[in-house]
Amino acid sequence: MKGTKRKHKRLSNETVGYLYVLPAVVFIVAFVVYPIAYNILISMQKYDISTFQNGVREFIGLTNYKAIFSDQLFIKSVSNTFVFTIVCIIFQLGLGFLLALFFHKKFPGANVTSGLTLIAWVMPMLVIGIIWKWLWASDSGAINYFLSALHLIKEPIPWLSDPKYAIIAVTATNIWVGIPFNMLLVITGMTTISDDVYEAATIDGASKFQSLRFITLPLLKPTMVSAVTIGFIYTFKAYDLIVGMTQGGPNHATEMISTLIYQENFTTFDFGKGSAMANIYFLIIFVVAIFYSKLVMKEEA
Amino acid sequence: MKKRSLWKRISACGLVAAMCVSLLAGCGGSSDTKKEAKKTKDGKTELVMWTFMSKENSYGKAFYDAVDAFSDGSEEYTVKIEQIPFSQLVSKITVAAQSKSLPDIIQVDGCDHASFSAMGIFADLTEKVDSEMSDLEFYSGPLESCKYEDKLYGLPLNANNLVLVYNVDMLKAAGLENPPSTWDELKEYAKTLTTDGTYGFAINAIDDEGSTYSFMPFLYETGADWNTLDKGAAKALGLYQDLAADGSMSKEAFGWGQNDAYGQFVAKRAAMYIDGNWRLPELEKDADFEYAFAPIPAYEGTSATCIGGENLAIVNNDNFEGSWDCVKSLFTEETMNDYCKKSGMIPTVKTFAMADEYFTDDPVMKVFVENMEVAKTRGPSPIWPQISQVLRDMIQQVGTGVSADDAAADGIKAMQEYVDKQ
Amino acid sequence: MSKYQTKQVKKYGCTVIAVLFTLVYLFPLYWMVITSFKTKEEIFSAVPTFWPSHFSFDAYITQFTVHDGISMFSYLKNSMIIAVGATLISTVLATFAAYGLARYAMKRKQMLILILTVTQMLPMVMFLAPMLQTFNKLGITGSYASVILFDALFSIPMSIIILRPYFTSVPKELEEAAIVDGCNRFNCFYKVILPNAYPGIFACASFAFMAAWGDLMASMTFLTDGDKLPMTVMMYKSMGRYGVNWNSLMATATMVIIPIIVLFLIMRKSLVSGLTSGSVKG
Repeated sequence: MKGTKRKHKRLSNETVGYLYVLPAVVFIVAFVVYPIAYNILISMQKYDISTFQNGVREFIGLTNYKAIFSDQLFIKSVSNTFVFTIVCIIFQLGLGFLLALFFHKKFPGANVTSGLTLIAWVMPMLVIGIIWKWLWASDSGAINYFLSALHLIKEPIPWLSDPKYAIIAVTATNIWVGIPFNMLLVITGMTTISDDVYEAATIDGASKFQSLRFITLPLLKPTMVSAVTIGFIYTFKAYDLIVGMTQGGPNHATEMISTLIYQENFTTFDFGKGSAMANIYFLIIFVVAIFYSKLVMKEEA
Repeated sequence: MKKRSLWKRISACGLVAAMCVSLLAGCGGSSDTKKEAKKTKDGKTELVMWTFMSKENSYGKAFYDAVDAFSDGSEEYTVKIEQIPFSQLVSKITVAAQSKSLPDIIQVDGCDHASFSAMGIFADLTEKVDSEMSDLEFYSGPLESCKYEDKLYGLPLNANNLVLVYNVDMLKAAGLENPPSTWDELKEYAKTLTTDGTYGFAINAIDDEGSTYSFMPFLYETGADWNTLDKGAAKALGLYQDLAADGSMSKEAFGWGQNDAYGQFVAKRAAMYIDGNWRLPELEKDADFEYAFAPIPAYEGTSATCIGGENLAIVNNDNFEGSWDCVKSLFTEETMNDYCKKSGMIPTVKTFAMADEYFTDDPVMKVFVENMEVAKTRGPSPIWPQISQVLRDMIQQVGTGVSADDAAADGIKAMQEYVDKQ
Repeated sequence: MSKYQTKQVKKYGCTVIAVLFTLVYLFPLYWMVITSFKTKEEIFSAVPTFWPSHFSFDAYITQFTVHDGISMFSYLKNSMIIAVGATLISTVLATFAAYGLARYAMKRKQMLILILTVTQMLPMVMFLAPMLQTFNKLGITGSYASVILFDALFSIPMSIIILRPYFTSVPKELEEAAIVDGCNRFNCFYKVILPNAYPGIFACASFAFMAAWGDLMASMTFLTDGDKLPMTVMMYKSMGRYGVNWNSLMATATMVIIPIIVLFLIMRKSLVSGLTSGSVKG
């Protein structure tokens, strides 16, 4: 192969780049074009129980979209999802980073213990939801038990039955799930920074905090960008956790876009509306992806 | 130069080809005719049935055995049962319906039935039932749940209804001989029975269908129904509110499903709760105290209760004849009574129930069987899910401190949209 | 104390803190496991018990018996097949794509990134019906391939996003030196770049594996044969129509994650050796 390549003109760098990316792109495009087109199409049709089998799906343009934007519950679920996602990312990455600083140090068991925390991420989401539901239970849950044993609270807090606490409980649980992943991402990212750089800095008289600020953080920027992007995408879709813990309650306090989409598709059977909601979701993640791609492009410059 | 543009063209072609494949694959599917029925080795046509029953327990096994007996006895057909976890059943049916990959027979929950019938995926059984099952008298409630626009789109397989379940030992210890029979008594009892670590009363009030189910009897007792909420929703909600407010019911109840409420009772953390006859086998196994059943406490008139259960529906496809034969074979006195005895369910065919003294004389079952005469069905309506959501929203509001009257007012307003659709 | 001793104390001190932290952090896991040994009343008792008063192995014994004609090992095997298949496809495709994105300037790069992440832009649920139609047309519904392809599609974006920084952090000089030494661009990729990106590749392969292992939606929708169902479905069978078998559910969940933990501990060794085998230094 080497010989033949040398004989012909070398492929341009750009073409080689395309070739590396091609397999994944073809794979994705082959399977994804139809679902996306299908979703866009039915979001503009009246596709629900009444029009199901007859095949006459009236084209109603943007009616579904108008309907969901005037639906208070949808608006609420969008804001819930954003708040939930942003708070989760901040704490998951923030705490994960701090923990990474600790676990990155070389001490016996550092690798094993930090790796074991990943179990939090591996446990099936549904089970996590159920377990934490028990932990947050106001009467018999372990959390209130510990809080009152430590005399931090006088009365059990109604974590899951009070709207203002429910969203906190659900967010805290999701943060617990996400910290190990972020921590590990940062740790492995840190390993790519060679020790020489730190040595040079200490010789130059930099304090630990300064090396953190001027060496670690900047060099970790690509990793952090990945972590935030993945964090956003994965947290935004939160479904199993919510269903396991609160079913979107109490009184829709923890209703998310994904739970609403599921409900629209499989309880109300209004597929047109469900797809319209899904397309709004699509636009949001699309914007995130654009930001990510812009950041990637900036890195290259 | 040439090489570069050649590669570019190849990749571009590859992409376009991929897109075409994708679109073709999708679009072709919608005009595709239904799948060919599989033939097994001995030339029999294979029918597929979806159920959430598991062979693991005695009644599931009884059901599977009955279906196998049909397969063995039939020369043309054999039935393959696929077990789908209950929580996935509706979504699986929906996705399969959209993709035209439905099986031949499906077990559905009664309140979902009308929606699917309205979608047109089930076959109309009215004529077949009239001609071939005329000697069977079904209980009207369960049969209603299979109807849509006055036609029958399935047959009810089993029935259940709700009662008050109470811990006899706890009541005795508090000096209470008989169970409460009115709302006032219920509230009194609940208060008395609430001690350290135990609540007097528990109910499932989380945002799911089971909670609507448990709420309906109280609603019915005020003389209201989903389309006449103004007659009594506020009072029924008021009951929940009062019980939670004076501490005899945990506020957590608004986050409990049916199984959670059951768990509370069996762990002796609730003295009374609302449940149905499906729970009989489990109660026998789990409870280490004496328990009993009573009609749901009445408001001002008589006790009311609500019906639940599952139905069998036949999918609208070419295998109708075989599917009908199979379904019909399950509606025999022997099969149905056997299955129901093992599962705690009530036969949906009154003729069968009356013929067996287990259903007529057993002190426990008697209560449930007699309830069948007065129990009401939810809906039936293809928009029952939306109706149910309005009811649950009211309940959830009360759970978060909104007054019963306000919650009821909101509910009435929201329900108007659906009442008008009738 | 000598300097050496202080260092030792510091090191082991850190170990103690790490172990304590992990134990506290994994308390929910502990709760899951002990619940699988408890009886139903204990699960709902007023005061949470932190150690089962009656140890009951029932939940586990039933896992090992044959359910509905399907043994637990069948579920395990299927989970393995699906997870390994999805991981292979997504990791291979993602590795190439991430490298391309990391190292080569392309005019349409932004668009490519958007295409590569597109499967994450819609909730998985929206893909079910159209993909079932596609798979029906292709005739692969009910086969492992359908679930493997579906899972791979969703792992690729994440794998690419994770991998890219690893490729960008490999110093350019290494590549240039290799090219000067005579290997063409593809060879240089295999022999020089990949070894340096092992940690990243293992990381994203592990995540892809875990994602596929935990998948339920795809298996429920595309598989019809009981023999092909993975362990996650086994978990849902504990959640019956009229009752949840809590201890059974927790037992199943425990069994679902044990293989992952084992795999992870094994992979962790290679990860560490990958990190320390003189990779980063020039």
